[in-house]
Amino acid sequence: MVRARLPGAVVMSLLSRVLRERRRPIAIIFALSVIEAAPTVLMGQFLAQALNHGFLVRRPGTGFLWLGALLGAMVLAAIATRLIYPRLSTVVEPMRDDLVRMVVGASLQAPGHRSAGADPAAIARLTEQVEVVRRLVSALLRTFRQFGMAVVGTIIGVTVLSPILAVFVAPAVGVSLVVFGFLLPRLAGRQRTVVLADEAVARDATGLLHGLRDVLACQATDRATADMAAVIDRQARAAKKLARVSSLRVLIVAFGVQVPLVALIALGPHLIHSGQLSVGALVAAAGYLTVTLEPALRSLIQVAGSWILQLAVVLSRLSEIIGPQTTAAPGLTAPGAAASSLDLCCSGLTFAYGPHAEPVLRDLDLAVADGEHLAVVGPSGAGKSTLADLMCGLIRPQHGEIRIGGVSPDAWDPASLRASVALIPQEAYVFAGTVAENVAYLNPAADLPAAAEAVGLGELLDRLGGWDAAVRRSALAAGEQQLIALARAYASPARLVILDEASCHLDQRHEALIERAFRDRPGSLIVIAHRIGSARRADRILVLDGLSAVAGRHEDLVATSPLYAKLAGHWEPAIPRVTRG
Amino acid sequence: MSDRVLLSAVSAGRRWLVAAVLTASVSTAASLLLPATLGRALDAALLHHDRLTVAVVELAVVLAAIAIADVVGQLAGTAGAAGTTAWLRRRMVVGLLAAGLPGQRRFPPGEATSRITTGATAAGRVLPLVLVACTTALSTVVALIALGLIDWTLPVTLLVGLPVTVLVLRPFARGSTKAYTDYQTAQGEIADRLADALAGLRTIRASGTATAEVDRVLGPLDRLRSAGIATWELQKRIAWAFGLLISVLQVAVLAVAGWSVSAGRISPGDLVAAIGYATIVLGAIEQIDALAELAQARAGAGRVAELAADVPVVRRDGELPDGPGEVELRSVSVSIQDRLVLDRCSMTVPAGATYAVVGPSGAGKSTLVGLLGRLVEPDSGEVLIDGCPVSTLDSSALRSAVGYAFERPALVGATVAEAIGYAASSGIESAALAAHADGFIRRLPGGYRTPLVDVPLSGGEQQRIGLARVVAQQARVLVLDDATSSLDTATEAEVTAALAEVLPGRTRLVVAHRAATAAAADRVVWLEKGAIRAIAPHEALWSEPAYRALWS
Repeated sequence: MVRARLPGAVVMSLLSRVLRERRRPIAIIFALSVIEAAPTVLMGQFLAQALNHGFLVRRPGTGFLWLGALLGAMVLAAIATRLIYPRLSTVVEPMRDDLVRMVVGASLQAPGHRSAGADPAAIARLTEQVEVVRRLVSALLRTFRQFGMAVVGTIIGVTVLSPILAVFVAPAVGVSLVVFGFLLPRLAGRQRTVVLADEAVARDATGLLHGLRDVLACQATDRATADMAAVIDRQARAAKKLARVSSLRVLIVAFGVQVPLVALIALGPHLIHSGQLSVGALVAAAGYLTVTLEPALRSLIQVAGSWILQLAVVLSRLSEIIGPQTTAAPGLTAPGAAASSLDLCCSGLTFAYGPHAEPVLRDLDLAVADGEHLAVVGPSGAGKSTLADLMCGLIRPQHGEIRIGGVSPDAWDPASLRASVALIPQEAYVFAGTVAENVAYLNPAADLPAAAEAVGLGELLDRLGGWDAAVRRSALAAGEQQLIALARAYASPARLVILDEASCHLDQRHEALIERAFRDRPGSLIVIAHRIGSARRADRILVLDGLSAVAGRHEDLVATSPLYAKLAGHWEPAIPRVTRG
Repeated sequence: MSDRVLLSAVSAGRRWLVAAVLTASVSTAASLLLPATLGRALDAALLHHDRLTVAVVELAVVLAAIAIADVVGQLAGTAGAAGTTAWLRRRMVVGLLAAGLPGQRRFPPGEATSRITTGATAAGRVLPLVLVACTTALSTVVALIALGLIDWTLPVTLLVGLPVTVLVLRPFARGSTKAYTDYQTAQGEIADRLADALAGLRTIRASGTATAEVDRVLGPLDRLRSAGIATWELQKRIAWAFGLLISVLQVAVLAVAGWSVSAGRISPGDLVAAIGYATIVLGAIEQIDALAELAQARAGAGRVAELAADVPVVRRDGELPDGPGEVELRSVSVSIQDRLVLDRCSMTVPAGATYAVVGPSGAGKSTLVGLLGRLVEPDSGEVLIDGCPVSTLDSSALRSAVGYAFERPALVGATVAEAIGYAASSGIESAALAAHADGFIRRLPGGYRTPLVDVPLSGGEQQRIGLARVVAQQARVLVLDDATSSLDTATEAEVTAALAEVLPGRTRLVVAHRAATAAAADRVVWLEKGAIRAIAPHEALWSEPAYRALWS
């Protein structure tokens, strides 16, 4: 979601952060820009000379010479243009690299939990926004720089022609730029409204079209049409409101250029008569104002009024994601690898996903001895995955504490904590690479065949074409992705493995095989159970319903925990039927 | 056809159209008068002082006319474009909703969204761009004539110079566009890798491998940079050649005009006028971009027109008589994209009964249940609820007749409460309670008022909100299309019991993927390749090996 604050400082800091390294090429670009603007500065002077000493006094040869000099300056400017482009690429391309790095880094490394996790599609769109920044910065460096130089060049040019001309031109241009400066905040505000309205149209259209079946099933097309029309009309109103302000830019340009032009001509005879201005200079000044200054000032103001504002809007969006440069907090002590026992102990754990939300877990106590096999069961939404995240130190409880091997996760050296504790979630992570790379993800020295044997990966390996076969997440079924993730966990050095419904897409026999393999592996095993079979195989079972928790063995729990009895009761009868035949 | 739709879109904002055309005409005429007026004013200042006052007033009037026409013109153009865009968007939404699910097979959501967003924006710009193109063409011709009136050598200079410009430009403009394709490919790869990594974010966090993952995602960055640098090379060649040739033409016109001044054929004021007209002609070359943009906008308009075409109005005013909710299919056939999906299916579900619909994937289960709520229109045959053909019912009658809950419900509406109340407006919290959704909704940051975009909900949570929606709807016939698959078995049983309690006596059609669900139904409708193979109790079918094979 976009905050209503205007970017300002945040944007500037982000922009300066990515451009700071590129000061040298930027300096060269501006030096070359001076050469590029030279014809603009010289044009009036050379044209006046060509007229005064050449064409007006019937010496066309001299006139041609001056024009030839002008052409020479233009050729130099073209060469400068040629030299500028490679430098532009050395500014813009590394800047884009930096932004991509920041975006990717921030989205993968930012700490957070479920309620802070933005929609992945929105984060993926960030790469597009980086591209918009690249396009706009390039355009600004090309066009804005050129027109800015042209405006400055014109003012220098008329001053060189005759200082009296500067008295006409400079104040008018100055006033129009100041007026534009006053207009800019309003323009920025309205531009931002338009961008937000555009995004609302895109977002709601996507939602509507992906939900088309449900809209039809609710027989709610009238409502959907009305909702969508409201968003569409809001966008049109915002665009019209922006147009009302932005069309005023034309008047500002007209003031800056046309007022001095009319004044110059009206006072022309007087100025020439008093010797303050030559005939050629008057003609050249008129040419300057109409041919050079008008289009340059117009473009400058148009560009500033749209591109710069767009850039500011996009950068402010990016800076919300990227935020200040983050560094990983170092561990306070590093006893991890040395800890002889990985006993897990939770006391008084309370966790809620927001200050106003009801807690998911309340005052939970739990101890898991090293080498124990625990199953966690409970209805959907009872906080089982939250407990898993807490136990791995991915999120921090609001109250209570967790100790792994007697030490809080925060106090562990992060690397040894990650090597000692493995969490395999329901949504398996398979990246584009070979099967071997995926399985050896947590342990480059892993015994791959042993892991494959243990979790029953063989069939999938054969189908894919061996360890070196390339895999892609999108080409694998959910169960196959889970199998790869489970082989990875088995091959890891972790001594505390937490399987969070990690085999829910596999059939029961396969699930049983895998859980037995993990049980036989050294270390503790915590299984968040999707089916009763997982619970029956465990040494102990934790029954969780968020507000209360009991732990015990299956036989005892059936008698003592009504919730467990109910869960087990519903689980049991469905199983034999499904597996039969 | 696309131009016709566009024309009606534009004429929807006729006021802006008239204003835009008028101001464009005034602005063009005044801009064409400007160089001549300026030249005359200069000559008056230099040579004929007696005419100075008149000439300066003329100049001021022309300049003011241009400024005012441009202000109004820009406003009219933008406002007109915004109006046209909004009109097209509304039409597309209506068209897409009317085309329903069959339409979605032709225009998938992503495609349709892009037409509603960028397509409609581009189409809205067609009119302003046509105006630019027309005025540019007109101005160029008139400016060339005006140059000819000043001195015949001037247009000749430009007319010889222009083809040379084009000839010299072409090899530069041609250059390979491969760099652009490479760039997009590398960019797409990074986006894909990032999406993969984000999907596995919990694993990455728990494994502490974020740094390595960042490197993996950024793998194609080097290729991205070198492709990017190659695109600059291309731009460089075009930019410098273009700039140089415009400069050469400018100097050429100056030289020819200067020669004419020294030969006494034209005045200094004429020279300034010549510079002005030459600038108009040269400016037209730069407007070639606008022509490319126009072609693009027209292509956009074409894509939009397909969706914004007139929607045939179907009159539905049948009323649903009171009834217990009996469902009947009479020899219904459905074809989707020339494939026969349901072949002459007939069945009757008695009021209050629960029927499970089973069959291998692709057998037509979802199509069969989709018929009741008109998600699917039959090609032949009839679908009746309490003896009333559903094809005649208006949407509110149908809403009280049939309600759906899906395996993956799409939640529509801005907040959680709106999503539940999408087919009803009251009883939202009690519906959520029945669907076992109240608990987790209250744990969301904003409870029932939490915006849907702010909370990524798990599959099970979405299913429960979808179930709450159908509870709130209170329809006589309930269609549950694998609607509890993401719930654990205990929650599923509780939800099923709660549904029976809050929606007593409803006729149910349940698409089942678990044998237990089929076993709990009164009858099983066994579909195979679009035909009903049997309607019988689960226990009766269990003796058939083919039926048992469905569940293995």
